[in-house]
Order: sequence, then structure tokens, then C-alpha cells
Amino acid sequence: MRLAQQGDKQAYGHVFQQITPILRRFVGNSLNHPEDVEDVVQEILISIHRASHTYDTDRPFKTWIFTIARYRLTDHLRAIYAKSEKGTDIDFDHMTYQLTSDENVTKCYEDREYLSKIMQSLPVKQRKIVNMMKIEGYSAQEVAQLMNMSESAVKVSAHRAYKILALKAAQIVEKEEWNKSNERVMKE
Amino acid sequence: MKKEQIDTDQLIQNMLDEGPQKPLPHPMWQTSLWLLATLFYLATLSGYFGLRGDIAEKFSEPSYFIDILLLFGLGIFSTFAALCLSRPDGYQMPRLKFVPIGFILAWAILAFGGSAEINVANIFHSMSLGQFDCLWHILLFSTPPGLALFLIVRKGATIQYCWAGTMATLSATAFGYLLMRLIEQNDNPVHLIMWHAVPIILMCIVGMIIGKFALKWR
Repeated sequence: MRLAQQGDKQAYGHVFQQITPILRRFVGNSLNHPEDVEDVVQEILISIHRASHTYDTDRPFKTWIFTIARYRLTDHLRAIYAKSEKGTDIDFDHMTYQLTSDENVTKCYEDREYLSKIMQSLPVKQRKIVNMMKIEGYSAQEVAQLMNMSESAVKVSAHRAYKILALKAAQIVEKEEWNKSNERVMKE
Repeated sequence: MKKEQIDTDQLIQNMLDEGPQKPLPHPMWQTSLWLLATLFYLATLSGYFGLRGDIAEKFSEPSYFIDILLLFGLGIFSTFAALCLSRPDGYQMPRLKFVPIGFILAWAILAFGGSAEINVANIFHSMSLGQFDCLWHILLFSTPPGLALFLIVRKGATIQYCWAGTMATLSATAFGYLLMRLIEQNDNPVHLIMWHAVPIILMCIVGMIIGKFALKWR
């Protein structure tokens, strides 16, 4: 990036070639449909290009790009929520937070607050691992390095966390269905 | 660069054709330049309005001297914070925006802490006096530097726009307040609270709202 800021277009191109797959993986952790992912990745690339003058080469590059990426991704998600609040027909199958492996509970609840609520039920360490892997886009290896754990320990911890999340989600779904059936009985 | 229905490689190529933008100067350098221009503006105004008669005597009082020093520090740190916040990553100093709050607390304790004159009756009395000239003076002293700072911050790509707006306003008004302390021969703490500090708080709220609309990076 230092070379790019000095006007080296080849270096600038190299930066984009290097970060694009990382961004794709980062965005892919929050969005399901490849077209949406590509769309947001392009938004982020444009933002990085437009903000290239704000990067100081003495500061870590990764933090800078991920701040921009997170901002644009949040913008995108916010736009989706805003549309859903207005009652626009949104295909929520397009979105997933990939917090459960077997069932996508967001199809039922479609609500970020809901996710953060069930995330609170996790122990701090597991919550941090899920957050890093599924929201911030770190790989298990990176999380292991950052948290001073072995990679397999991170994977096991993440797997347990997903199980807890799936269980919590299933309980809520069950409760909802029970409430609905009660309402039906009352009406009858 | 507009995003259309093109593939990512094509988009990258388009951005390469435009090339990277020239980097912004270091926030410290921007702060220094803004500070120089602001001090020049305030010095001109103080020349026009004239410093308070007892200025030499007042500077020999430690509390007054520290009061001025803290206001100066508040102005500098909030300027630096505003300029760091003009970067999307806040110049990777997330706690910097809280430093001016520390200055405000220290200054408030020094300036008003333990003052027996601050009571409800005096506050109502001060309000009834309607000394709006202080408010207009602070506005006059703060508006041009504040506008300049907002324009500089806008050149960046701020994503913490409310904080950036608040910091930019705080910075300009801190210098406005400082100049008022050098000009106005009134050290009554109730007057200072009601006609100097409270308007500044209100201006900071307005600055925060303006920041939301004017500084948001789209």
C-alpha cells in the first residue's frame, strides 16, 4: 500500500487482488447468496479505493480494511432490515449468520437482536470464538493464534458453541409453536 | 467510481485506471495547521476586543492559569481527536475520543468544584439577567474555526460522524471559551456555567447532529 500511495498502479492492483478473496470470505460469513456477497465485496472495494487517502502506512492495514468492510456490510444489513420493517417482501433465505449447522434458525426469527440474545447464553470464550469466526471472518487458525489456543481446541469449542446455539434456538422455536397451537385451541 | 453490473476484476481495473488518491497529511500536522490559523484568528479578535484589565494579575493566580491551560489542552486534544476520527479506522486510536472528556472533568472540578456560589437561587438569578452577549461572543469566536475544522474532517472518510462532529465543535468552542476568559472580566462561577459552559454543551449537541448529516461517509 505504501508503494500504491506513491503512485505505483501495479502495487495498487496487487493490493486489491490480495484483499478481494479475504473480503469475499469475510462477507460470505454473514451473507449466503453469492450475488449478494459479490455485490457487497464490490461496495467494499470501491469504499477502500475512495478512502485510500485516509490510510496511513505506519498503521496496520488489516484493521483499516476490516473497519471499512464491517461498515459497508453493516450498511447493507441495515438496508435489508429497514426494508423488512417497512414490510417489503424480502427473501430471508438470502441471509444467514451461519450460527447453526443443521437448521438456519434465522429463517424463523430473522432478527439480529434475537441472535445476539442467544449468543449471550454462551460462555464468554465460546462467544468470542463464534464472533471471530462467524462475524469477523477469522479462520480457526487465526483465532487459535489470537487466543493462544490450539487450532483443534478452537474447532472443538466452536462446535460446542454451535450445539448450544442450536439447542437454544430449538427451544425458542418449540415455545413459539406451543404458543401458536395454544392460540389456535383458544380460538376454536 | 460508480458500481454498476460489472464483475469484480473489471471493477478493480477501473479503480486502477483512476489510481490511488494522494494521502492526507498526518492528523498531528493537520492539527498544527488548524491551531495556527485559529490562534491567529483569536489573537486578531482579542486585539479588537481588548484583553481584560487584570490579565497580568490573573495569570499570577495558579487556578486561573491552570484553567486556561486545561482549556487549551481540551482544544488541542479535541481537534486531534476530530481529525483522527476523520479516518474510517479512527487512526486506530479508539480511546482517543475520551481524552477530551478527561480534560472537561478536570477543568470543571477546578473551575466550579467546591464553589459556594453555585446554588439554585443564584442560577435562576443569573438566568434572569439574560447575558446573551457572552453566547454571541462565543459563537463569533468559535464559528469560523469550527467551520474550517468541519471542512477538514469532511475531506476524510469518517464513520464515527457523531463523535467527529462533537469533537470538532468541542474544539472550536473550547477556544472560544478560552478567549472569553481572556477578555471578559467576570469570574463568577454561576455566570460561567450558565452563559459559557451550558451554551457550549448545547453547541456540542448541535455539532453532533450536524456531524450526523454533514460528516457521514456515504
